[in-house]
Amino acid sequence: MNILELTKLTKKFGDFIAVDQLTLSIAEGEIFGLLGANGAGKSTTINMVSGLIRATSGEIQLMGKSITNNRHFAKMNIGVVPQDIAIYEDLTAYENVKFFAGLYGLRGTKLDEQVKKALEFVGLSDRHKSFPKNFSGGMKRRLNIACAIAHQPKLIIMDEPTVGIDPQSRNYILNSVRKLNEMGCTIIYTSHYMEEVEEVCSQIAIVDHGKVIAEGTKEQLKSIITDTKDVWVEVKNIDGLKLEPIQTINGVLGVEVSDNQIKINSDMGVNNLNAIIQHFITNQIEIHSIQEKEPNLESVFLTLTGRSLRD
Amino acid sequence: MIAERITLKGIILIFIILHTIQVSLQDLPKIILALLIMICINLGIEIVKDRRWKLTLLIVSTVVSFVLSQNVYQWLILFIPIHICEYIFEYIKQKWVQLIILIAPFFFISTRQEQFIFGLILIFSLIIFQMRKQYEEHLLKHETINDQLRHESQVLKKQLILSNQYLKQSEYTIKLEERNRLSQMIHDQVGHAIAGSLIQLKAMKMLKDSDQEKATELLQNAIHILSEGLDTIRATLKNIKPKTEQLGIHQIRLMLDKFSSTFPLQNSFHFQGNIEKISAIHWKIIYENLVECLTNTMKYSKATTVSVKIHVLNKLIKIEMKDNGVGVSKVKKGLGIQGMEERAAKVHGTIIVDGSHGFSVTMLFPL
Repeated sequence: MNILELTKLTKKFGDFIAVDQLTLSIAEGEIFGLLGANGAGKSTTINMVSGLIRATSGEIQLMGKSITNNRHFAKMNIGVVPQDIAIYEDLTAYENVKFFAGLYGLRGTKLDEQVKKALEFVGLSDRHKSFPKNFSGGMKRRLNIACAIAHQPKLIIMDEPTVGIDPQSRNYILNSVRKLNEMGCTIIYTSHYMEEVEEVCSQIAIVDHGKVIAEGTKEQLKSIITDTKDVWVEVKNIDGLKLEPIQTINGVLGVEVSDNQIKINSDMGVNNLNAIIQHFITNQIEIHSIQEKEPNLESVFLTLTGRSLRD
Repeated sequence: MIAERITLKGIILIFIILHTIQVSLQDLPKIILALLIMICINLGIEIVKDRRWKLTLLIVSTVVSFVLSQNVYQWLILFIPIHICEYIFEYIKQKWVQLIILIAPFFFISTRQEQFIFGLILIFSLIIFQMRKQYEEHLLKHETINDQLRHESQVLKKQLILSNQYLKQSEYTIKLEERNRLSQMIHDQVGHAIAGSLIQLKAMKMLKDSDQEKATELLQNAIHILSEGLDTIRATLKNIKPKTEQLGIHQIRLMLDKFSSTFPLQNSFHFQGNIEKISAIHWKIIYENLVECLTNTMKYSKATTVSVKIHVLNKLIKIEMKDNGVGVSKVKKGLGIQGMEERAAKVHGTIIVDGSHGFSVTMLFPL
């Protein structure tokens, strides 16, 4: 079942079209990555989904219900971790989470229980009495996440949650994204860091100029560009190497030799590295280095949009 | 130099007349006669065509004005500087002779005042004549260049007409050759097959009552020949028909070159990947959208170059058109872009329009 369905969603600011007939569906249980350069329309889309701005035209359906007619339902089921940290520095960590959860109508012991749960989840329960002004950037981010998840939404939107934080906190956040997903939440994740998206997302959409230009798992996206990979083997001495037997290895499509380097082009879906190495060992050819080059998300993005993500 | 001469002489004439009125001399009739003589001679200079006659009249005029100035009225001498200038500019080439002729008259003039006015008029006339001479030289130079260019342009025009004719001719020749080849092929393959089977069938018609077995054999032969003929026709037609990708690329290249020849717009065209994957419908959409893009580029961009890149990826065709023009900060979607989007949507494609660095249109078509 699709938890979120965007149909021909359009947002115009005057003559400028920020989001252009964007159609996207996100299945329940996905970690959905939204990739796009600055100004591609990601944040505008997220703002429309979270109800901050109204769409010019098109429809947004959350769990089968249009959010324009069911605003309360939508708000109860969506949690947003905004790009800029939004917490009160004069309230303690506990009070912050309690305030945001209270906005969603939680009261009494249930409120207390869920706030504690959320703080525990982000690893801040021992600091619940501290004021965020003494927190590191990573801790503030985590607190921000706690504020967004305390009301236990079904859909969590994280807009660049790892900007400007230390590697440890980043790992913590990535792990908590996975944990939230395991607990049954669907997550929309945007990031400038291609590796993060590649690591954590199960489904990815590339957005450019307000349109979805490609969508799928990371393997599907890579296969848009090519379905082959290159293995570069550098050897000490090329004499005595027979090329024909390499060509018969499972998945190998072509072999090229230049100087002491052998380029073996093969099917991306086949893992034949062992067989290739074995061939060199049995022929007693000394390998200097071995390198496997297959397209990554960065190159997919670059090929499709003609620019790199961090321009 | 007619205008200058007449103007200068006219000015001197007016000067003399005014002076005469002012001083109110007694022998006025004599002076008027002298002036009339001067006018006659000088008009004569302008009227006669022959150079020698002109020179003679010029010298006569100089001498007469000198004589008259001595006997009748002193200021008639002021005609001489103009005559001198005329003489040295038209008839003398050597610089030193010019100088002597310029200086000589001063020895014949008695009073200081006369010398001063004489010198002044001489210098003024010299300047005017010199300016006129330079102007004429420039004019001549430009006219020569003009003539040269006109000649060159005529030669080029002629070449163009000739090569156009050649183009038409060769187009016609190629068509003829192609037609010839086709008719030959039809004759060789279709003609023979039909003629062969026709004979068989005629024979069969004659035999069909008397020798049924033979008739069946002939019928079988005819069927065999016809089906073979049909096969060869199919094979040939397949060979004749150009491949889709060749057609597509040539059409696009032709269209780009056409734009480049009509407008000051250079183009570059690249393709990469396995273009055989591009189907005829894709080519049609690519072509139509590129025409739209180029028209927009011509209308709005002020660009000088445009590049088209076709990149065939594993599961996607990417066509990028980019110009080096002014671009737009906010792209406004008009009918043109909407049309492109609609065409692309037919093959589930996407159009991305970007005006931030020049104007670019990227088409993405899934395979």
